[in-house]
Order: sequence, then structure tokens, then C-alpha cells
Amino acid sequence: MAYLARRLALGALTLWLITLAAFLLLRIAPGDAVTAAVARAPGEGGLAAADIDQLRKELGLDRSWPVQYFDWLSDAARLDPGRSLATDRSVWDEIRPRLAVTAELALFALASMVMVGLAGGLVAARFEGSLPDGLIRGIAFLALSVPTFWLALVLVVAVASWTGHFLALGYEPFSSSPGANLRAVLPAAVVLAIRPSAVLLRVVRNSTLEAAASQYFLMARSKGLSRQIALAKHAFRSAMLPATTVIGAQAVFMLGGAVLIEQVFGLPGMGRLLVDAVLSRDFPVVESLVLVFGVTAIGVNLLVDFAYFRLDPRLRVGA
Amino acid sequence: MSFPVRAISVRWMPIRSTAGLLGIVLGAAIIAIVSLMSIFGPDPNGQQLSKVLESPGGSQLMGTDQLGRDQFARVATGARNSLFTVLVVIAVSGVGGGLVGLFSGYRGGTVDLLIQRCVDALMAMPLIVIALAVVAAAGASFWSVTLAISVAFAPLTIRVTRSSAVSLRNANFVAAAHVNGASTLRILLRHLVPNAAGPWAIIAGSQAAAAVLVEAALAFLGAAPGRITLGGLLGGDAQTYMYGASWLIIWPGVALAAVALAVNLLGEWVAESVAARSGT
Repeated sequence: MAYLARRLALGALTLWLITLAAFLLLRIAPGDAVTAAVARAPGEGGLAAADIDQLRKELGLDRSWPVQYFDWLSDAARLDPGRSLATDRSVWDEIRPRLAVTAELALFALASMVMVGLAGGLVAARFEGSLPDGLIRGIAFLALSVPTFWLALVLVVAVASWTGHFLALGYEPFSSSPGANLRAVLPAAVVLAIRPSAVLLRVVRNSTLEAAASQYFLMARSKGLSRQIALAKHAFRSAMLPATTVIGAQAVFMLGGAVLIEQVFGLPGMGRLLVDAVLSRDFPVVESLVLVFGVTAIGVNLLVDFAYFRLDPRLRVGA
Repeated sequence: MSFPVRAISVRWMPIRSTAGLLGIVLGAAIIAIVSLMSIFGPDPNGQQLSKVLESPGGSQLMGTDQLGRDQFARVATGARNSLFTVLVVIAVSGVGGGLVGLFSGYRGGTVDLLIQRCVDALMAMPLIVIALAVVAAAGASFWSVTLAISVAFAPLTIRVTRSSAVSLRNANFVAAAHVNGASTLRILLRHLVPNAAGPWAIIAGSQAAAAVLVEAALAFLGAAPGRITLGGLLGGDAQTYMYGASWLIIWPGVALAAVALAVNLLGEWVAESVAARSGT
């Protein structure tokens, strides 16, 4: 348990550093939220100096940094992180409907990655050095070199010109139309899973083969197990540890990948909101989204630590 | 006196590896095409409104865009700018991050702890989110994209060189240098850097390939306006015209994949050379 407690404490510390970084980054930026907001609307006539001071006061930017930081932190903890500069709506109201979209996309992609990565890696290991292995590894190498968002673009254009169906236009919430929702999200999830699958596949293949060179594998074979069964039951199991690490890291990567994929497939998720907020320098929204991404990523890392604890008996005995 | 850690350095290996050979051929081809297009090719910003959205063929090898600009010239310019970004990122993030990591590992103690916890925090986040946050702070521009990628990539380099420094810290030659009165800076530059060069080069190689793709992603999202980049060619107006003019997104993507592949292969070659030198 000491292991888990240590991980939990580290996670909390990491989260605190992320809040600090998100806060400081946008404060040391040249120009603050207000000048950014003013610069955004050149055609509408500049604000007078008095108006700018007024706006700064409303946003609390005239107070000292420590005061601002603690106010911001406690507001964020109460899910009331202020108003968007672009839409003037509450930041939380902006984010909330988008959480489900990104979560759905990420979960489908995660499931695809785990299935393809584990199965593909095991098959490649089973046929080590022969044609299926070469084929699978070749495809994986290509998948790692081709940018995912470009594949997504090509898919969207190809589907549109062959079937006349625009993948990027059909998003509906799951509650109002499950069919349309899945038609919009599933292709995006599959494309998002391509790169992580390739990474996972390579690790599973190599770790399985590494375990197949071990003494206990030889032992299992000499008991009379066929190579296939010994691979699946013994070598594959020990490949689960590195695989878990990769799945965790790739889950975090997919959160980032979702930013691009949502853009290409026109899904109204957190990633798109982040891009819009970054380009319009909507600081309150950017800060809050960095926090949401940070909390999710730390949660994923904690889950991985927990899975490790379950999978690796050495951690329980050694602790 | 024994040296527990063998010095490894990166040397050119005779090109026996397939990855190296393919990488060099592909890289040379890209550089040749880009240079030739920059010198002899049409102006990438030259509009010809009589030749709008022409499909590839004839005098326009990759077609023209909605303003009649030559797509081949734009792709070549974009590839040049992408390669330039990668060089800057590797210089800033690779060299800067590497030195920070060495210092952190050599110094140890509170400084090390502080730096490593910050690295933890950065590594916990999705890379593109960090990069976008930096772009939000610095404003969308070509240079802030370069800065953003450097910041996002630094943590991994720091981790790698730090672990080299930790294992080198107690080596006899470091102790000898210290006894001789060498300053921390001198020990860092003269003794740690050459000995940490192997893993350092490997991580720089693999990050170079990733930098190509992240730069393209950020430019695609519109973070690098005002400059022709491969990612930028895929985003923006191409999003409107791509359904009727697929060449607008095909060719920048092919170029992007080619650049990424070449850098990837060269990185692989560096890794193989280091492994061969250190005898593993």
C-alpha cells in the first residue's frame, strides 16, 4: 500500500504544479487577457484606457499574483472558473457539454487500440520472422511515419467523393440520435487509434519474444506445451506489464490526438474548444482546459500505477 | 584506476544499415528537390488568377490552389520551413534540455528534486496541450510554434541525460576532475557531455521525427499564420476546397510523410550506430 500512497501523493504534487504552470504561463505572457481581447477585435474600435482598467478590475488582474492564484484555484475547485472572454458564458458551461464528446471518442479509440495492439502483437510474435510478422511490422512502421490527422483528412475527402457522405458534418449527441452519433464518432475513433495501436503492437511483440527466450518459457515448452499455447499463456502474460505502461502513455497521447481529430471530423469536443480558445487567446478557457486535461492525464497515470500493482506480484511483496 | 563507465561517442558508421541508407537517400532527395524548387521553381506566393484550382499535370506538377499559386512550389517551401523548425527544436530542446538534465543529475539534492518534479508535471500532460498553451501565451506565430515544441519536448531529453549524469556522477574520472579543481561547468562540458552523448543522440533523433509531426499539427490548427508550412497548407483554406481539389491535401501530406520518414530513418540510424559503438 505504501507504493500506492506514494503514487497518489506524487499525483497530487503533479496536479499542483500543473495549476501553477497554467496560471503563470498566461500571466508572464506578453500582454494580459484584456489586451489580448482588445487586440482580437481591431475593427470595433479600441477600448479607452479607462475601459481597459475597468475590465482588468473585473477580471481581478489588478491584484497581486498570489492573491489571483488562490482566488483562481478556489474558483476552479468549485467548478466556477469565471467567464469566457469570447462568448461571455461561464467557462464551465462551455466545457461541460464537450466532455462527453471527447470521452466517447477517447474510449472508443482506447478500445480499438487495445484490441488491435494486443492481438496484432501476439500474432506477429507467433509468426516471428515470417511473412505475417513482416507484414504487420511494416504496416506498423508506416503508421508511425504518416501523420494521423492527414490520414483523417484523406479519409474524409475520400468518403465524401465516393459516397457523397460528409463525415465531418454529422455530429449528433448520443441521447438524441445514437445512430448518427456513432456514425460521426466511430470513424474518428478508429483513425485516432491507428498510431497508438502501432506503438502498442511493437511493444507487445518484442516483450512477448523477449519472454519467450526466458527459462520459464523453456520450462513450459519442455512440459509439452506447444509454442502457440506457451506464447499465449506464459510469454504474453509477462508482456502485459510493459503493455500497461504503453496503454497508459498512449491514452494520454490520445487526449492530445483528440484535439486534431476533433478538428478534422468536426466533433464539438474539448480539443476543438481548446484550439478556438488558444487562437482567440481566451485565457480563462485555456487555463481551465489545461486543468481538465491535466486532471484526466494524472487520473490515467494513477490507473496505470494501480494496474501495475495488481499485475505485478513483486510490488505487493516488496512493499 | 578503473573507469566503470566506458566512453561512448557517436561516430559515422559505414552505412551498412538499411535504415541509414534509406534515410540518407530519401533525405538527400528531399533536400535536392527543395533546393532546386527554391532556386528555379515558381514563386510560392505568385498568384495566377487565370489558373485557379487546376488539377496536377502539365506545367503544374501538383496543381494550383484557389488563388492559382503553384502547389509544388508551396509544398517545397513548406518542407523547407518544416525542416528548419526541426533544426531549431533540436538545437534548443535537445541541447538546452540535455544540459539541464546533466546539471540536474550531477548536482543532485534539492535542485534535482525540483527540476524532476517539474519534468513529471510536463510529462503527465499531452504534448500538444502543452504546446498549445505556450502558443496561447506567446500568440500564434511561426516562432511561438517553434518555442512551444521545444518546451514540450525538453522534459524527455532532461530525463534521459539526467539518468546518464546520475550514473556518471560517481565515476572515478569525474572525481579525479573534481580533485584537480575543475569547476562544475567544466566537469559538465568536458567530462559528462561526451560520455552522455550516446543516449542523448538517440533521444534527439527520435524527437526530431516527432517534431516534424507536431509542428505540422500545430500549423494545421492555425498556430503558425503568415508562413508557408506543410501543416498550414493542409489547414485553412484547403479545408474549404479539398472536396473538389483533393491534390491540395494529398501533396502536402505526402511531403510531410516523406520528411517524417526520412528523419525517422536517420534517427534509427543514429540509434543503431550508438548501439554498435557501445557494443550492445
